[in-house]
Amino acid sequence: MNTNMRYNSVTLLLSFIIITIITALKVNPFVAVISLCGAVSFMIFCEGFIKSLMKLFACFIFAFVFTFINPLISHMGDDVLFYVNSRPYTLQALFYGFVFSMMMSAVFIWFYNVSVLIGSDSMIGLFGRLFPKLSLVLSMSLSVLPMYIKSTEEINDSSRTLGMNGKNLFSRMKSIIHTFKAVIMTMPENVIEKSLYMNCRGFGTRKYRSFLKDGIRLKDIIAIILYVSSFLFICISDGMDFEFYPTFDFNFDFRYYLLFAVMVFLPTAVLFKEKLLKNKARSHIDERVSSI
Amino acid sequence: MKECHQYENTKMSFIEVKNLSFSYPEQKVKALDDVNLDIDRGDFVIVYGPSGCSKTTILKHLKPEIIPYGIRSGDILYDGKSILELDRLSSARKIAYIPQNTSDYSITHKVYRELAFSLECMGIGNSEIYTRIAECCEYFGIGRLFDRDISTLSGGERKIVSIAAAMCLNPELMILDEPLSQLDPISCKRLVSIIERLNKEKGITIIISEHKLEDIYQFCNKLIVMERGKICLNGLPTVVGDNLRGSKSLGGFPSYVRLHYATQLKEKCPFGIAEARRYLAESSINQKVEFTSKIEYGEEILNCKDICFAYDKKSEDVLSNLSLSLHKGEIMCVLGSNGSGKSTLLKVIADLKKPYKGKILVFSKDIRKYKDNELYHSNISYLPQNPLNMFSCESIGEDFRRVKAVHGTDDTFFKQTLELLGISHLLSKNPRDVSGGELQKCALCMLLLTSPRLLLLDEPSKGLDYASKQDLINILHELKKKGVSVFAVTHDVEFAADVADTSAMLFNKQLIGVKGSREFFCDNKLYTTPICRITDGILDGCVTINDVIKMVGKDEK
Repeated sequence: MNTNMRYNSVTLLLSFIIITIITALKVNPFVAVISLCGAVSFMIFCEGFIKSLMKLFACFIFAFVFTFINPLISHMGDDVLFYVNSRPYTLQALFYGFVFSMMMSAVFIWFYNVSVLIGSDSMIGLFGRLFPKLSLVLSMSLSVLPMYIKSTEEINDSSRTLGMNGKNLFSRMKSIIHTFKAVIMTMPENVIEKSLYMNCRGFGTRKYRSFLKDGIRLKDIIAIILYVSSFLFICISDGMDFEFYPTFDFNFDFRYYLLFAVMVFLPTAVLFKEKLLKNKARSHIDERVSSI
Repeated sequence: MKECHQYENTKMSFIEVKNLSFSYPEQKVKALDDVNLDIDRGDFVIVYGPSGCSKTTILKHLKPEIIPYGIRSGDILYDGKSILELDRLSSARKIAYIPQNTSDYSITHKVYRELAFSLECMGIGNSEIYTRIAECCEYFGIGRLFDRDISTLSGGERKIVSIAAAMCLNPELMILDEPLSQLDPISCKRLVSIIERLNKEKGITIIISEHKLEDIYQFCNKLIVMERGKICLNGLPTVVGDNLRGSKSLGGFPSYVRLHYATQLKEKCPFGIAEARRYLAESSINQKVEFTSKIEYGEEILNCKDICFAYDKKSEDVLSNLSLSLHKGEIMCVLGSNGSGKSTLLKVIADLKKPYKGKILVFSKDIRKYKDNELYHSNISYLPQNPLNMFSCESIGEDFRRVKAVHGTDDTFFKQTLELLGISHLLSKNPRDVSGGELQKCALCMLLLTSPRLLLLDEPSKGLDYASKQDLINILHELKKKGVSVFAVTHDVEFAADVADTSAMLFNKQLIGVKGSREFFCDNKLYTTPICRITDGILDGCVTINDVIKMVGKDEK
């Protein structure tokens, strides 16, 4: 998916990781709501409302179920609403269930946003800077996997057209074993050939340096510093602590929540701004053409 | 990073091979026997010979990292020094080796990563890598493939990406092992023009091994003919061709060369299709033979009506309202470029893929009504593009026994089949240790053990040398006499012209121009055999070299 974001994938991934960690660490209704709103807004902006609907529906079902199940498991809390099998069904446990399910939904949607925005290529590029050989291994695995899947399919097709794939369980197991054996037989040869050709192409002659298509710019470095320092600031302080049991107890420091909201909505804002600027620029192109 | 090629001694050959002999471990027969070679800078060399003559072995000896393990004597000099003394960095930079199977050569999963790989290994900076790979993409015209996955590329595109990746290091020598095998005619021409440009514009020494010279003969300045590990001939292609007059080794030469040596209409051999046309036009030939295309067909055994197929709901149709019919004892070839859907068509007919619309009748029965493996017992058999996928045991004989056990094949019939195909001596061998032609025959044998009445073949002539191809053609004609029908998909026009009764082209998801083969190739002006292109308007109805020989009134060889 091309979102036309001009931030490097390292910056994006780091920002999403930090947001997710804060969301998971601080089980706090305000944090959960802000994080969930941020995640949903990003998802809707990237995928559209209709495509996002299924995921939102799944999150809603999970939240609904967990909210009402948690008080049946956890009986802590002073405010008893009613009794179930002589066990207290408390307001605090109900609220905790609700907040926890929102928090999990937010984390799930952030992970989904990462998978959509940052493909395998960006992940490999991310590792390339820190662990270049690991990024090479990942890239090799991604190249080899489709080859073995295709090979397995072809071997299975051949086996089937030779009448070797019987319908009963025993015949099927036999043919699966034969297919697996045939694939395994090609592996050592392929591995040796690949390593020889890697040597042919210069691997091991000098220190391996991974190539990054998207370089890290000053704005990426600034963004990374801001996110990391904000993360440390939030984690060290107690401005976002929220106690559920035995009664609700929290410090509401507006500055922390504002900072967190900025962190959460910044990716969406950047996306929106980029798209707006691009559309504006493209509209000028159309006007010039039509004037000719 | 600046590179400077300093030629220490311009009078010395660039590459010298002196009395090289080599045997693989535990092999009595020498793979290379007293080989001597001199190659100058800027040469375009073709190493030609049948499968198993050690072309790949000699090529691997020119790249230190992949010199095979075994018993060796003799010297190989690179720019005056022993090739074994070349340090790894220089070897990687100066000598590029591109194997036949590009999936072994490809290391990474993306095109741009593949192009950058060698430069990453050299520790080159990010911006310089980007510049070099951008330059290569522009030169080779693969800019649109930059972000693509390697696994989604066609065979021709992969070869071009491999060459582009090698060129990122600016080598002096490029070695290509059978680069044109597995490519359709158009991709072949594209690849050959790229290789020729590298040789002419950049002065890169090119060494190619091939057993089919149609597309590449006119570009080389040195042709080396090998047989059983020895160099038989070495020199200008025209001189070498002259020395092979009357020999079976001429089989892989271009059609215009074979035409000259078969007909001897003039003294001088033509060089190229245009010259060959003049050669024929200026020779007074009385057209003695009229070819008839009448074929008598038996009952219909395969009928496909309005077949539509797509890989998934969102993707485009691969086949759209495709219809065809095949009769008993008929050999039909479907031609088309790589990616046109030929293999998919075959898999649909073999019931390996289900069309979402249309009907397929095999021996007058709906294919969906065949239960269990009934379709594959004495009905149809399918030969995949890579016949190695049919073998899963340590020896070929073991695989045959497996199939025999399932199909209850008679021992007498088994021995007759082995004799017909001439592979009795291969039973104890590992399928990976036999040549391409031998493997193809073993795969065919496995199919015949199921007693099929219809054979479905996917690129059966792929990677086969001239002799193996002729063997395959003879075997298919023998099977045809026994009433076995054959449906093959191929991009090898000459093979189709030699073997098929009916030919058609798969284009735009449909079968076009379903006709008798002679009519098909004579009516086509571009996608046809080289002989057709040579004789078009001069000798009517000639599709193969044998037709020309008959027409001219010479004895068949």
